[in-house]
Amino acid sequence: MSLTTPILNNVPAWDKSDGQVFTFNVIGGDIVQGNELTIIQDSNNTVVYQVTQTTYQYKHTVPSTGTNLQNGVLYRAYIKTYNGANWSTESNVILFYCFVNPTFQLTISDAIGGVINTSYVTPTIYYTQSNGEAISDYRFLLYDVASNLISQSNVIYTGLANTIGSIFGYDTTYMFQGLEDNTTYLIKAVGHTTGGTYIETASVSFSVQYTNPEEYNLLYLENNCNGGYINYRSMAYVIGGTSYPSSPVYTTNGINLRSNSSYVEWNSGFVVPEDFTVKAWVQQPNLNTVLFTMYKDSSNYIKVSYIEDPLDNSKGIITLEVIINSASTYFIYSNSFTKPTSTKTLCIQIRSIGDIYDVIAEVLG
Amino acid sequence: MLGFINYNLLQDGDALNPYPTHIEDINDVKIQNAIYNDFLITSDVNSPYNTMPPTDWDIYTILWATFNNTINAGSVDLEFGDVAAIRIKRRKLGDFDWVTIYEKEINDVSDFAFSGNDYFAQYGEEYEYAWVPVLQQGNREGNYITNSIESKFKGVFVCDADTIHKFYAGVAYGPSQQTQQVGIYNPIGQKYPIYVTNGENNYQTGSLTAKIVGNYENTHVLDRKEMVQEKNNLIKWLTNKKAKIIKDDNGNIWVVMVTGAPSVTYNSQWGNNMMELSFQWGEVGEPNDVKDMQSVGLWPQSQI
Repeated sequence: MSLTTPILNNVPAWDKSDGQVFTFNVIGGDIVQGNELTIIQDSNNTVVYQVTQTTYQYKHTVPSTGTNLQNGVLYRAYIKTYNGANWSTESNVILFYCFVNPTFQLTISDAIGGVINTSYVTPTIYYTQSNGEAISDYRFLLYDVASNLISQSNVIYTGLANTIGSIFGYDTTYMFQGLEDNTTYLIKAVGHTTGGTYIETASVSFSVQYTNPEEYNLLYLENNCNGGYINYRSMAYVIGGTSYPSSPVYTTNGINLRSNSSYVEWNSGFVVPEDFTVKAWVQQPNLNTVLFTMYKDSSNYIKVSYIEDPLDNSKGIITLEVIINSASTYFIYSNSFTKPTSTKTLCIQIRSIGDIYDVIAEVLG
Repeated sequence: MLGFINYNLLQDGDALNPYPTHIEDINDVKIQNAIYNDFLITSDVNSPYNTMPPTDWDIYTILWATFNNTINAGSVDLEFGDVAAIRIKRRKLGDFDWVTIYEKEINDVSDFAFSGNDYFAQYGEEYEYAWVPVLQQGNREGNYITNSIESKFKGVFVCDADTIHKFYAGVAYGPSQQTQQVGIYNPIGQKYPIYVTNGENNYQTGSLTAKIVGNYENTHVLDRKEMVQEKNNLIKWLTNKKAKIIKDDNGNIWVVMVTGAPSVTYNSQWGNNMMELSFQWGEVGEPNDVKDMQSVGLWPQSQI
């Protein structure tokens, strides 16, 4: 008897700091008592690893430290087996990359505090790898709280199968529909890199809570009879705000921002939803000035102003202007109203539903 | 009209498209040039127009400033930098001691809004929950904001801190035993033995059997693939060597470890797709004992 030629199995791309187990197969021949794995850097034919391991198992473990392997480099490898006296011929040669472990994350941007108020969810994945290894394919998996898989996307191929060699970030979304009210779900994504490495995000939990008119409590509780649990929800929203001057002038009923360059601004702790209503109760508004502005950023915002009615200078109107990409795309004005005297309150309501805006203004009392 | 003003004169494919007017993700609001009494942003777009300022937050409120000597516009009068964490605590109504069942570190202002599930509530009990800020200064707790609810459910549930499984078809408990250590010493010259009962062991053991029917309760379809998946998930979960709670709508509740080997029997009359899962369990603690629940990892360790 003699040793037969071993067959070395392919390995995916791996991080040199993780180590790797190479497996092979031997059909017939002597009992294998050891093996020698040789790894060669493909670009310059330098042998970077050649180690003999004594084992009856058909595997060879490359340690996580103490090798000359480098991430971001293409290698080829072959193996020989040993029967205590003689060596086999060299196996087939395989190619593989060493790559730093990629970053593969999943987020649910439409979940506020882990809760979404709709019957659909759009998770987003973000992938990046410092050696420029692209993501090849991925899919989204939706589980119930009992970890049962209840839905999954098709395998989504990025079309970047051979993209290696440049820094590459990738992000995309997918929509799961038909989520049930008062139910908790888990979402994760799995996929492969172009080097064949299996990647998986952490599971992200979220609850579905269709919006229902309920009495407000900072701590919202709901008994889920079918699910056997009690859902608690912190409805605390901390919206601090800044002002100029930093110590603003308060009045009996509010805050005086009439003087030049006085303002109050809130820019964290909230996001205005797609459809919204804004209401302001103001006194002594400065004529022909901007009363409030709602920003996404400095190029995209909604500006609400108080101006004199061009048809009747005893009256005023409220105007609303939408600026998108620094260009005015929408302009609307309210009903005309008698200019409020110093003791009267002006109530302004802005309502946005879809792409339609409505402005109402009324002097009270 | 703007199409005409521009140079394409309706000659390209996008010439008649409406101009975008919608801005998403508005997260910055600035007010000025007036005396403001109230300022409100709400997601309620259905209520008819009215001129009355709100009297309290509701679930639609996004931002509400009353300018009562503060410019805070949130639902809670706290500053982001003052709070290290939020604790959710629970106690049975009438009990004195609170138990921390969840703690959320506050690293961002959005961390104040969160949700979670309490799987360990016993059937028929009314529980009081508290929302408790932990202040940065001195790691001390702020005011408790409480709410209460009665726990009601239907079925038999097995759960841990993250997962809950419902059993509702063919559920059966095996005989339950109260295990205690009693030694018998038989001295010479004495008619009756001496019973030695200085052992502390005192726990129940039992077993649970239930049919695996997938999502039949909702779909009324016995999906074979789904049932096999459920069986595999259950076996994996039951053998993860972590403590679990068994509770039912009779008010029973046990903190247990799964002992022995969970088994699955297949009913050949149903083409082997109808499966019955059985496992044995032994008690490892009291569901209302904080130390027991914390020591088996079902409740988080808390500093207060």
